[in-house]
Parts: sequence; structure tokens; C-alpha cells
Amino acid sequence: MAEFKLPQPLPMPSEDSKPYWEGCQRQELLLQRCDDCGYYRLPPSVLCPKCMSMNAQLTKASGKAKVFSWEVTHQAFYPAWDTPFNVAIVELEEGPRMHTNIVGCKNEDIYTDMPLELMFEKVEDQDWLLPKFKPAQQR
Amino acid sequence: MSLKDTCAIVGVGLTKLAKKNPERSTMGFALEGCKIAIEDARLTKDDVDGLLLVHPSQQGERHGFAGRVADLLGISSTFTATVDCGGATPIVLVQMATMAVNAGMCHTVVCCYGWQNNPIDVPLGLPPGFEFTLTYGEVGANPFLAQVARRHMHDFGTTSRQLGAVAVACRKHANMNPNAQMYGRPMTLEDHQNSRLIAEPFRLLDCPPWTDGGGAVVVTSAERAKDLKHRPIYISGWGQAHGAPLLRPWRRPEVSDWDVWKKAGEMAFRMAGVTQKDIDVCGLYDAFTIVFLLQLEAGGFCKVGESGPFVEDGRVELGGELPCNTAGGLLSEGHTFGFGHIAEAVRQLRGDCGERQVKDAETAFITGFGGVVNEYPPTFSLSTLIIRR
Repeated sequence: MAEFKLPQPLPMPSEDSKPYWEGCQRQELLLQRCDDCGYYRLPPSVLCPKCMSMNAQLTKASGKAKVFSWEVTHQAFYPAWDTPFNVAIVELEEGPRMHTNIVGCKNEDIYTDMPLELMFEKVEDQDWLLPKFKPAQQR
Repeated sequence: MSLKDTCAIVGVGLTKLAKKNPERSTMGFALEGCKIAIEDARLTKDDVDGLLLVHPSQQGERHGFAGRVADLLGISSTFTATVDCGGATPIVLVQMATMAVNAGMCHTVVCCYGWQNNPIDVPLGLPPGFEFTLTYGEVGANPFLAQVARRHMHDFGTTSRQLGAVAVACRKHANMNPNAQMYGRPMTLEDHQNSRLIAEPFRLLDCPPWTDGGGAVVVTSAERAKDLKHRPIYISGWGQAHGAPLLRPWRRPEVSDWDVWKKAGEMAFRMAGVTQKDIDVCGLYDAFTIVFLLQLEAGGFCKVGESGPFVEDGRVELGGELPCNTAGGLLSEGHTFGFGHIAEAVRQLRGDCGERQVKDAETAFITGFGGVVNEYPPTFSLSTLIIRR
């Protein structure tokens, strides 16, 4: 739709989120798991929102997830993506929810609780991997 | 000590509201809003000694905003703050003003906002730090609230036509308000259903317009309010609740995603000592139709999940059981961050609403809702206010 197109913005990691994004570049989705209560958390944070412990280990997510909600953007504020495109909230097997794009299926075929699996996709024309999700193979 | 009825709203004002008005800056709108509200109270600027301002985030990284508004207004203030809870802020300002007056820091506070959507002194661009949303194309408020709406539809069977009923009610009221941005532009449920998709499931008419403008309300002690021109509108109850809907990093199994804001409603009714049955008119925050539904639930006017059927058949329109957003709301009066809701509730309780007056309106319930959209996790605040004549 938009003839005028801007480059897609890359994440600017903070001190706290740097290990997360470094993991993504190795094709690993890293969650923090609390050493004291075992709670998995995302976004990356210095303490556990369940028990306030500051001890945590980075652990690799299984990559299994399901659709929690999604929208399909038809009119974009910022002309960097071809419309229509989806932005979804997915729930990881470990519990945390995150924003992402669902790829490998039509927007019309997305449904709540749809089983998904993790994949990594390059940001258009740029050397940066983003965690995304595609419909899971029959399990 | 309860602060119930210790302060009153004695002046309200909104500037002209328009989709584009390049004649004023954010600062200019805030100052004009303050002037209108102070004059509405029949006060002078020298009667004001406190100033609170909604954080104007479109101004980028700038500081000391409230203090500068106070100085440019020419007041000698002993209490100022710039407050950042998005659309929840106007009501939060009224709450803070009441606290400050009771704490003896000041006696009369003007609470204001200004908003120039396209400031010529701020370069266009994406703000930094939105690493978990912008990268996926989640920009602005539409996508997240659309995701909220989609999940509400899934959990409770809410329909697009029910969202449309909210938009229709607001537009009907705006057509009785010559100052509304959408005055003279009637709209039907079919118009809503036929409007183009923006962020599915949202259609154009689920979304608020862009609005350049400003506004303010003046809060003073109940004692001082007695001597002023207008009948005082007392601040009887309030509450706040904050949470990251759908994405709460620490999810409590005993609280559903939809119960996050109920505390703010319960707190206000408890403080005011009234029930939902006592409310004559509501101003429910409505930047997006789904937000209105969430406010009905948070206010306890229906059970969580039942707001969709609640708004059908004109129940929230003038003449209905619970008239809401009688000036047109954010959706059709204009995006005033909720100052429009406070101003309209005060006018209703003063009996100044003419054609759209709710007969014998004595008590009003108002909400504000907003916060962070693109920073992670997207966190929203709900503020509530019960005022009475």
C-alpha cells in the first residue's frame, strides 16, 4: 500500500536485555529462571517479580508456544512493513507471554491457542535475527 | 482521615478541539486551557498556587514542564508536578491536587494538559528503547488495544457490533455538543461496521480522532469553593489500579487478566459511600471502544465479561439506564486525555448541559485509563473519581 517505506527498526538492547538479544543472534530464545523459586520471566529483568530474588540463570526456551491474542494491522503508523501484517501475543510453554509475528500461515488462519514453534527470521535487509513463531508441525 | 468532600472542582475548560491546529504549541494549549478554567471559576491567576500537568510525551526528552507552565501562566506556585500515567493522568491530577490542598502545600490547584500532535520543534522519529514491540511492527496504541479486544472477544463472546454500540452512543452525544470534533457528523452502527479496518478487529470508528487541544480543571478546598460563583462539585471518592494486562510478568493465578483494574472502582465507591445505583451519569475513558467496556466492568456496573451485552440497545446513551460520555467522549468529542470527561461531568452536576442534560444529575463516576503502550511490559493505569453536587 505505502510506496514510501522506511527501514524496519532494530531493537536497542539495554544493559538488562543485552544477553537476551545476544542469545537471539545465536538462535536461542533465553528466559531467566529464578534460582530461588523457579519462576520463568520475560522481559529480562534484574529481579524475580514473584519472589524478588536477584539470582537467576539464563535458560533456553523449549520453543513451544500458543497464540494468546493477535491483531492484523491494515493501516500502519510507521511505514516500514507491508500491510496487512499480524502482531501476536504468544504464551510460551514455560509461562511468559511475548509480542511477536506469526509467520508461515495466512493471517486469516490464526486462532486462539493455535500451537506454535519458535523460529528466527532476519529483519528485512538487515543483519539481525528476531524470534518469531510458525504453526507447529503435527505433534 | 478520609479526604471525602474536602475539596471541590470549581472551574473547567477546554480549548477548541481540532484534528489539526498548527496555531498553538503543546505549551500554548496548556496555557489557554488553564486560562479558560480559571476564568470559568471566576478566579484570577493570583488565586492559584499549585499546578499539575499531564506529561506531554510527544515533546520528547524535555523536563520541568509543569514548572514552566506555572511560570508562563504568571503564578507563584508552591506545588507543581508533571505526571505520567497516560490517559489516567487527568483524574490522578485531581486526586493529587486534593491531597496537596489537604497537606497544606497549596490551596488552589490548576490541573491541565496541552497536546500538539505535530509539534514543529520536535523532529519526527521513533523513540528508542521499544525493543520488544516496535521491532515487530507494534507501533502506537492501536495494536495492543486491538489484541486486548481480540482476547475479550475470545473469552466472553464480545462482538464488533457491541464495540460499535459504544461508538454510536458517543457520536450521538457529540451531535448535541457544538464544541465536539465530530459535531454535525452523525454515524450509525452500519457506518461503524462498514468503516475500514485499522488494526483488526478494530475498524476506523473504534479509534479516537487525533486532537490538537488543551484543557484544565481547578481544584480548591470545599471551604473556599463555597464563596465562588458556581455550585461546588465535591470530590467524594477515588481510586487507582495499575497493571500490565495480558502480559503481566508475574501473573497471579487468583486474579484473571480482566480483574486487574477492579480495585480502582471498588476503592472509589467505598470512599464516597455510594453504590453504582447512585450514579446518574458516567464519563468512561474511551480511547478505543474496548477501553469503554473495560471501564464498565472495572466500575462494577456489570460483571467482568458482560460489558458487551450491557451496551446494546442504547443503555449507555442519553435516555438510557446509564448515560455515559454525554459530551461525545474521546471517540467523538475529541482526544482530551479525559479532561473532556471531567469537564462534562462537572457541567452535568451544575445543570449546565442544555439539550444533553441528565435530569437531576447529582453524582457522577469518571474514569481515566492509559499508560505505556510500546515499552515493555505494556502497563496501564486506571484512575477513578466520584464527584457530587
